[in-house]
Amino acid sequence: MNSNRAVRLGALGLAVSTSLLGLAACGSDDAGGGSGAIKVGVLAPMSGSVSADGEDMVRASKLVVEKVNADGGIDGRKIELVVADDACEAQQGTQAAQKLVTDKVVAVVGGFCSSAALPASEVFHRNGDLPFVASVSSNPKLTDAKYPGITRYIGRDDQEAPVTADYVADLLASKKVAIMNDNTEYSRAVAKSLKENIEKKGTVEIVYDDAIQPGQNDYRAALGRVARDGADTLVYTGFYPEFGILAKQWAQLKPGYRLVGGASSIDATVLTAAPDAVTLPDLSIISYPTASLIQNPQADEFRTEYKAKYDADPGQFGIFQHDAMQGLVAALKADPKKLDAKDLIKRLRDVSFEGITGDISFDDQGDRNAFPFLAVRSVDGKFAPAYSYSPDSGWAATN
Amino acid sequence: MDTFIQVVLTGFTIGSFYALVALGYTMVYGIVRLINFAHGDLVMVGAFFGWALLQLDWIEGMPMLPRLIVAGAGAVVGTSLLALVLLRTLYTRLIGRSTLGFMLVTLSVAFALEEIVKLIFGAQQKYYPPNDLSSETIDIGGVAVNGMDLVVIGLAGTLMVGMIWFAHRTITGTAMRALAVDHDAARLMGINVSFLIAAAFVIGASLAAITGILSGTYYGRVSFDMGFALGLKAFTAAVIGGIGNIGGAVLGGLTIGLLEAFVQGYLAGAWSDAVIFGALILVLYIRPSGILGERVAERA
Repeated sequence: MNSNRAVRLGALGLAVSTSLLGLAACGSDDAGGGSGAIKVGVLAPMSGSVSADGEDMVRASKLVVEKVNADGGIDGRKIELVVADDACEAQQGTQAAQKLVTDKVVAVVGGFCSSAALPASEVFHRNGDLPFVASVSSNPKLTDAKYPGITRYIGRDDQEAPVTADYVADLLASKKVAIMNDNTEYSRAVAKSLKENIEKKGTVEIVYDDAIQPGQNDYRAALGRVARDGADTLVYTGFYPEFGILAKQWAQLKPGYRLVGGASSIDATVLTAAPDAVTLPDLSIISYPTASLIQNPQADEFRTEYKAKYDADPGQFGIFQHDAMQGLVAALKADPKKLDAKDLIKRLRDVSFEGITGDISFDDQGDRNAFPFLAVRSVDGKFAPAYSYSPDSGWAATN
Repeated sequence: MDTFIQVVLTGFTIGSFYALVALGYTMVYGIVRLINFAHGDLVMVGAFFGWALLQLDWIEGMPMLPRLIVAGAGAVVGTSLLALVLLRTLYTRLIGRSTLGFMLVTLSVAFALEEIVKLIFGAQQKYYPPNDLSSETIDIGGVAVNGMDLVVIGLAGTLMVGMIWFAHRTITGTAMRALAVDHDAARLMGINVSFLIAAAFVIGASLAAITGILSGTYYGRVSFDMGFALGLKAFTAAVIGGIGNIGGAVLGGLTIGLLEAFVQGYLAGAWSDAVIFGALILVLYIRPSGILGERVAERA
């Protein structure tokens, strides 16, 4: 508690002093038309429980920026990164956003936790729609607000359910499906939407729709009930700690139905928790295309460069920050003389290129036109994609 | 797969865990008439002692069974020592003086233990090394029986019978029951009260540590926040069975385990906590002192 308060006071002090500095600097230089470095904000959780992901985002940003600067920058001007810590929470997110506004950045790239990115997006909106290139925050509300300044590089939470419904009904050709959630708000919402999407197919019957209580440890009774209800596939929409236990007990019971984990069920700890279960052909987990899973030349290059520079493997979500930063660079380069918000946000929406995370272009709300998903299982002790999804062709086996 | 028998088996396994923890609540309550809310977190501490010991180099080369026994013994000793230190430094001053103070202090200790373990080991779940007993499952008449099911139910059963024997057939056990009836009279009879209180805490802590090790070995994972919910349900089990009553703790634990399994297997898993605490209210409404009643020793 005490340290928390100290951090907050410190952050407040920092915010006050930077805003004073900002006032002092007012009028002396202008973000858009000047000739010095172009300031770009990075909004990321640098403290708190997901600070490792924040660090990963900064590293991924630096990889892009250093290359651009080495190649002569944007029309001769270098890019300078300004990192602001949102600590994955609303209050800090607002303060971090204010700091970036006073620092006169031309655009902000980042946002990991939606709890911080949503209030930050309000701050940017109020300050003349400062361009916010959202990289990892997946809450639908972020773009549903329809602010012109926002473009988002990761998929939306509400895409998981229809994609999973396609997977279960079309690819696995299931006839009787059981849906299990873990009683959290998020998991229940995915389960509900999954049910609606599966029912829309008309070919699949839902035979079980229930929850487990995380922390109970023993889910064999529930797994047995799914078998008794005659399901051929069980889809779990909850988080990975319980999925590990569930998969282990499912493998022991051998109940004769498939087990599909939702996009929150994937984590390296599942490999430790259920080493035998994850290799079974009847098990698969739906996943975002994360850094260790995605297979294309750009991803290979990113992993190699990252490893060479930081002597570590990239985190799972830095690739979205990488693509988002590249999108911003493309928009800056398109017309380097006009960097004010009004012009820049239009160009950010018009960006179109092939990133690490697939074909990148945006709809009129700022969401990706086509967002890929994967279905993975364990091969040689690591997760590897078995199927991939694209909005054009649906699910297909990866080669 | 015969789901009914499967559900009963699962219920007995879960129930054995609750019963072992409930015994700890009941032992301490029987003697000092106070609830030790830090008891559930001793399960977590025991599980982490065991996990840490299993990571040591010199123990890693051993075959699994002796390795688990060494880790288990270490966890029992470590957890008992912790319980003794807590008793001597914090609890003794409050026993007999402030019921509210004791409850609040044990509650604070529960949260402190969680935070300390989180600081030392991190918030991520920890995984016990896989072992043959928990990864092998045999099919008996359509029921998938895990080796650990038998170990958990067998060990818990043995410990419970041992506890009942201890309370009724040993001098220390008899002295404990005497203490439960009347502290002052027992003291006048020359019974060493503070020794017996310490013994009750140590026995409870040992049972908690064994529960933690068994849980880690069976389910594979342990986490800093595993103790509180487990403790609360075990406390409920002790109250349903009749607190202060050894047989009641066992009965209450099995009742809750079976309830949990049946709600998952036949009703709605989303409601399992609601059903368990609903059952507590129902039992207390019909029998305010639990199924077997709050046992006073002379009726034992």
